[in-house]
Formats: sequence, C-alpha cells, structure tokens
Amino acid sequence: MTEKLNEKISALMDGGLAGHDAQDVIQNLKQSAELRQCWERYHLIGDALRNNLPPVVRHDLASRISAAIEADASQSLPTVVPFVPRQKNKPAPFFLKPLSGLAIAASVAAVAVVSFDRGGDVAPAVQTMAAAPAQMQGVDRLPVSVTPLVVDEAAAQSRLNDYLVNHSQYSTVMQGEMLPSARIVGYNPNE
Amino acid sequence: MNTPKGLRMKASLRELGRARPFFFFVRWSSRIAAYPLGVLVLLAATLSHARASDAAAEVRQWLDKMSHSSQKINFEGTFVYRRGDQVTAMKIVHVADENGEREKLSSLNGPVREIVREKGVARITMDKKSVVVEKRSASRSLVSKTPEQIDQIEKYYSFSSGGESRAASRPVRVVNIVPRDAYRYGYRVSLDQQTGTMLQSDLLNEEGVPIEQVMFITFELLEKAPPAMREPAKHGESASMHPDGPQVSQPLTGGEGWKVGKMPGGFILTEHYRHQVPHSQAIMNHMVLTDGLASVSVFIEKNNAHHASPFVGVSRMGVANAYGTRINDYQVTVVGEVPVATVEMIGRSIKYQGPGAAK
Repeated sequence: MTEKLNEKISALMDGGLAGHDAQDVIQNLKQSAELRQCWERYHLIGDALRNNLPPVVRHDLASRISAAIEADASQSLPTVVPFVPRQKNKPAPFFLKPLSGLAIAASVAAVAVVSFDRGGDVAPAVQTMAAAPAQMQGVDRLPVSVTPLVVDEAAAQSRLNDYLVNHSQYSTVMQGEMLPSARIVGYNPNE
Repeated sequence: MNTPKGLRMKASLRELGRARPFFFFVRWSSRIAAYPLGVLVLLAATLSHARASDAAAEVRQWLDKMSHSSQKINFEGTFVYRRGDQVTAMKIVHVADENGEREKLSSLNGPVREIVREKGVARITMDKKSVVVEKRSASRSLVSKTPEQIDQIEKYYSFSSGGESRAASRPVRVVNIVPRDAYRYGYRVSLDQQTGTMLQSDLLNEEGVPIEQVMFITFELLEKAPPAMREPAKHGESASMHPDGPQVSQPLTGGEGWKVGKMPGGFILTEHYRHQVPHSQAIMNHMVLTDGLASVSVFIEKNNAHHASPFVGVSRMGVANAYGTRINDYQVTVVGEVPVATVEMIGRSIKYQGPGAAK
C-alpha cells in the first residue's frame, strides 16, 4: 500500500499523474505527515541527482512554513501575492520568487514545498495544482485578502539597488571598505 | 504509465545506495572508539578551558592587526568574489599615504563596474551609470573598536584560531568568528601574517556553509602609490559625469518618530540618516543597526507615484536578506547580511510613534 503510494507520489512529482489519481494522492499527502516527508525527500533526491541542490537544505521547511502560516493567521495578514506559475525557461522576476512561495504556501499548505523547487523546470503537475488552488477540495484556505500585487519591476529593482548601495556604504564591516565594495560590484540585479 | 516513473525513482534511490559503506564505517569506528574517545573528550575539555583564554587573546591580537592594516600599507591585488553560483574577478588598488587612504576596486569580467573611495566619498560606476555617495561619518570597521567593544562582540560571537594556511602564495593566519545564536552569520578570515590584510574571507550561514567568499589570487605590497592613484581624485570633475549628482545625507539625532521595537541581542541603533533622494523631493529615512560585526539597514520612505511599487515579504539581494512591509503610507525595508529571521524580527517590530501616530 505504502509502496504504491510512494510510486504515485513519485509519478505526481514527475508530472505523470493527473485528474482523480492526483487528487487522491494530494488527499493522502494532506493527511499523512509521513507522506509529506516522503514528498520532500523525493524532491531532495531529485535535486541531488540533477545536481541542483541549494546551498542549504532545511528538512523542516514544510513544518516551518505551516507554523509561520498559523502564526500569521492569528494576526491580520498583510497583502499576499497570488502565485504566478512559472514557465519553463522564463524565470520569475527575482522580486517575486520568495513572495510567490509564500502565496502558494498559504493556499495549498500540503504541497507548500513544491513552490520552493528553485530549479529551472517546474513539474507540470505541480504547475496545474498551483494554478488552480480553488479546486483543491478540502484544503484549508486562509482567510486572507488576496490583492494582486502590481509590481513595477524596474522601479522596484532600482529602489532595492539604491537600498543595497546605501546599506553597503553605511554598514559596519570586517576590514575597511573592501567587502562592501566587492558586494556592490559583484551584485547582479538580474539574477 | 505510472510504473516506469516509480521505477525510475527507485533506480535513483539505488544509485544513492553508494553511500552505504560510509554508514558502515561510522558504525564500526564508533564501537571501538567509544572508550578512548570519552577519555579524550574529558582531557580536551580540561585543557581547552585553560587554553581558551590564550587563544581568544591571540585571535584578538590578529583582529586588531587586521583592523589597522589598511591604514598603513599600499597594495595591489586581484581576487575572486563568489556568491552563490556567481563569480566575479576583481582588482583592488589601495593607497595610504600623506594624502590619506584611497582605494579603487574594479571588476575584471562582465560589465565594467568600479568603485573609487576617498575620504568618505565613493564614486560608484555601474553599467555605464555613476552615482556619488557621500558618507559623512568616519569609517566604522573594527578599527575603532575599543577592547570593551570587542568584549561586547564576543558575547555574541566566539573567536577561535584556525591555525596557519596560505593565500595568494603568502602565509596567513586563519581566524574563525562563530555566532552564538542564529541571528547572525559567521566569518572565517585568513589574514596575511606580515601585514594583517584579509586575503580570504568566508561568510558562513546558520549551517556553517559559505554563502560569500573573497579569495585573493595575487597580492603585492607597493612602496608608493601607483601613478594612476598618486593624485587624490578630483571629485568636482567626476561629479559632472553624474547627472544625478551626489546624494545629500544628513545625520539625525532623533528618530523622526520611527522606532525599532525589537532586535536580536547585541544589536544597537548606531546611526540615523535622512537621505535626500537625488532629483526628487523624496526623503529616505535610514537607520543603521549593528552588533559590532553585522549590520542591518532600515529604510523608510513615503510611498508616492514615483515609488508606487510596494515590497511586502522577504526577498534576497545578493548576499543580503531583505524584509519589506508597509506601515500606513510608508514603505519600510530592512536589509542586511544577516539571516532572514533577523531582518524579519526587526521589520515586524518597526512602529511610528511620532506626531500624529495612532494611539
């Protein structure tokens, strides 16, 4: 039984599961922390095999996100950006990356880890789920006001650049000014 | 259709099975090593207690040497700067003579980027645009740290010696600076034994993984300033290159009503500026918080049509983390080379308590 489920999870991850089957697995994922860990592990393995591991792997990512959401739900949440599914070969603007992660976590807590897959290719199944959070029956939705965030990217970017330059200029450093200078020169705003 | 996918994953798992001999080794070695290890740990604990103070004193001497090194020497060097998967090669020329300290740092690959610093003024040329940033206060590095301040830093970081090594073909002393909590990053620096100059530096995240590295490839002491750096830069001329002109900044004594409610232990608010944003009426409030090594900037700007892009949540800029929030009509952004938890804690605690604040 578990074996079969594991295979299904793997298939879902690869984008080979759709419709009712996918719903089924998601229901299972929702109910079992063990399966969610399995999901997380598979992603980790996949990332490792693709040589795509982030510098730091936090095993408790999903639970920390859940905890953060719970903590936030008790306060009034600020605006949350709806998740914009990322297209292949078209990375999300750097500015939206972490925010989109938060948004998907808010709507689909059970598959929150998915959105943190920073690889260039997001599994198609994952995109479908993310794009249609309303169809996720029974998944707890947070009572947050979702306002689309229209980001004038160029303006936001230039503003953040200003901040970075100012921060570097005024920050305390280890030795002289070298490191802050290197940080400015080595900063690539388009990454 | 599903089975092959599942099988593929299993095959992947099998590939990982290669790790097994390692586990075997651990089990085997732990059994025979258990007894002597216990004795060793006890012994080491006793010895290290006696030595800890010596080591810390030695490390402090090195840090002191490092902090004064740049004031006395002329050097030229090339280094690589790595952050994440980005690597930039850079060149630095540093001069300290009767005309004061001057420094020029430029990128050697990719777009031409350059920073020339002199007497608190930095001219930054990036991607064909230039800005001049004036820093009114004296440079604050470890230079100005009194022993009491170092004591304060030691409350939140532990210093230890990492022994001797080599960087840019020169013998160096390695110093580890390890944070005592999760609100700041650690450093591992390699200091030139002769001059104390930092020839290698790693910024280490919460897990001790380097997230930013500087490594000198060549380092050469110069007897005197090279011709191009002999004269102090003429900032009057260079300013004309920059249509935006210098950013006007003035230190503030009061907080303009903005308060940071909560920050990790050891952090204090050291400075507060008002920057006049070039070519606009906009004023940017800038608070600088520091624990002596790491620093965090808080920027507060009134939202207007020109800056109509709110930034809410956590983001990353280079090696710095950023947390943005909106308070009334203001955009509040916290930026620092510190863990997300730190910018977030600070960002969430910012309040306006000045005139007109809601009770």
